[in-house]
Amino acid sequence: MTGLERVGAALQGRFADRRAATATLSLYGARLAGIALSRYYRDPEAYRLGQAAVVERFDPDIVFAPFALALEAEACGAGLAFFDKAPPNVRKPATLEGFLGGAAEPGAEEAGSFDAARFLDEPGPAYLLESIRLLARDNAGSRPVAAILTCPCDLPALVFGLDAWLETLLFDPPRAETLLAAAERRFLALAEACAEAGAMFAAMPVMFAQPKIIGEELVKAQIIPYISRVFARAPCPLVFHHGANPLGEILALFKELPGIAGFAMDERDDFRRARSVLGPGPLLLGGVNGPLVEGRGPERLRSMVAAVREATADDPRYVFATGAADLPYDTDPGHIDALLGAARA
Amino acid sequence: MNEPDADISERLYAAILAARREEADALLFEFLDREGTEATLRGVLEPVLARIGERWGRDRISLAVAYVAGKVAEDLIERILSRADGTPGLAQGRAAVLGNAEDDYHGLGRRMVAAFLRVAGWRVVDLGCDVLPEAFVDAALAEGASVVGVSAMMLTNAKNIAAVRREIDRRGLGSRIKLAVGGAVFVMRPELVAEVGGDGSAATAMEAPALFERLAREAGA
Repeated sequence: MTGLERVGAALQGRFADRRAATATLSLYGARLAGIALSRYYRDPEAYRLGQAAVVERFDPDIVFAPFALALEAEACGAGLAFFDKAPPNVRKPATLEGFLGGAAEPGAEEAGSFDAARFLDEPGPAYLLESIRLLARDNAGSRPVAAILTCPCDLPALVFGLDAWLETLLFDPPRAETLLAAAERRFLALAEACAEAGAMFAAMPVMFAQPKIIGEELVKAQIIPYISRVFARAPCPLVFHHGANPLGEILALFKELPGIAGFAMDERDDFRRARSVLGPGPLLLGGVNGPLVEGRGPERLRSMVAAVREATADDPRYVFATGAADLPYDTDPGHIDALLGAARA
Repeated sequence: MNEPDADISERLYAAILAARREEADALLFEFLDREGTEATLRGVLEPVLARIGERWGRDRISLAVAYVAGKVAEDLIERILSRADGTPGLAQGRAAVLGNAEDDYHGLGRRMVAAFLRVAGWRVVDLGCDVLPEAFVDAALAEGASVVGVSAMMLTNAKNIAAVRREIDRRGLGSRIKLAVGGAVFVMRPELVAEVGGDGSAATAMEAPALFERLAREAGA
């Protein structure tokens, strides 16, 4: 069976020849292909080469589009910094003018002036979309391509900074509403273009829907209704990614969200419990958090994977995947072999 | 704590938990005008922050509440600094140097630490984001700081803190300048504190003053 067939079987609730297994190796492709990150995160062909090297070396069942959320922030007016061994990050937050153009004042309606085609033609989105087209072409019929997008409730934090977005959400509701509406337009435009380019689904790390970040009251009153509205219009299946925190305790908050094909869990989560909360429908993905693979030896990794396999043995809708962020650039390839080998065994 | 202090503390605590910053500010400013700087900082705000910090450490409150607490603390410090009668002791305490590690641009945690250190009487020299190792040590020497605090959110950037350790050691200042490290990645990977050469870390911004106090003592300050 191919990765595409294994993931398809999981989506339909059927067991395949073995578990679908993948790792977030978006960054790692640059190391395998020996490409400088300043080029890798700008040139779709360079990204394609990196992911081709990932496929050849590790044969994952899902291949990932660039995990570089800051590129979306750049298209909203933020300045980026590029690094030798990490994805680009926001160096200079955007101004309100830069993000909203002429509709910078609270309550202003940006809808009429937002030009989706122009947004998608910005360097960041254009690179993401062309990378997806190339990956979809290379992996057609063999493995699905997953886009990784910023959740719309997190986009203002990425664009303006965590504290600026917290300040706005807590103390300036009209402006928060304006920014969320602007984020919605960008998210839907980008998600639709990703689907057209060949992404089978879009994974979104979600931070600002977590009570641990903004408190349960605000999550329930403002964020859940907002993302429900946005996700209902999403043009492709979405994977709700845990961000950096366990989801288990709060999963019930999200189980009715529309458009969600699966939940990517933290390694600290209990998969049996998650399934009992969610019911039989959505996929569960996860197993070991990517950034921690580097610091754990192969034996430890094998034993962690064995524990997750045991917990999910009866669950046809489980896909082994690394959680949290990308695997670090310096991760020993032997660790990745151990991880994926154990997941496939 | 006397009765009025206890009452205002409860009201302040409730206002912060509900993210009612203006109400919290009004309570503190009124108390400041009536009772003075020392009573407000040490008698009211510090105990409330300690209570919130304790709950934050147990994951019982959100980052947003901690953020509001930091803002309320900042607002009070600004108010004190703007008073015509001056604030002996507030801005003349021991110095601490703060900054984000080279290539790190996530400043929220650092700014919260700065606010809580100021409330605890530290004079904070905040170098901002993306600070070179030499700049941390230069600033510590120029300001007479015994503790340098370096923040990083991601693993890759946290590893750049090791260069600050090397710079401190290269200049033979290891016993005089202590290195505090912090950020989300250190909570996820506590062993990283030793890996990058940190002398200590705090799980939350509100625990930073106790950490800095301990490190300053170890530095003989």
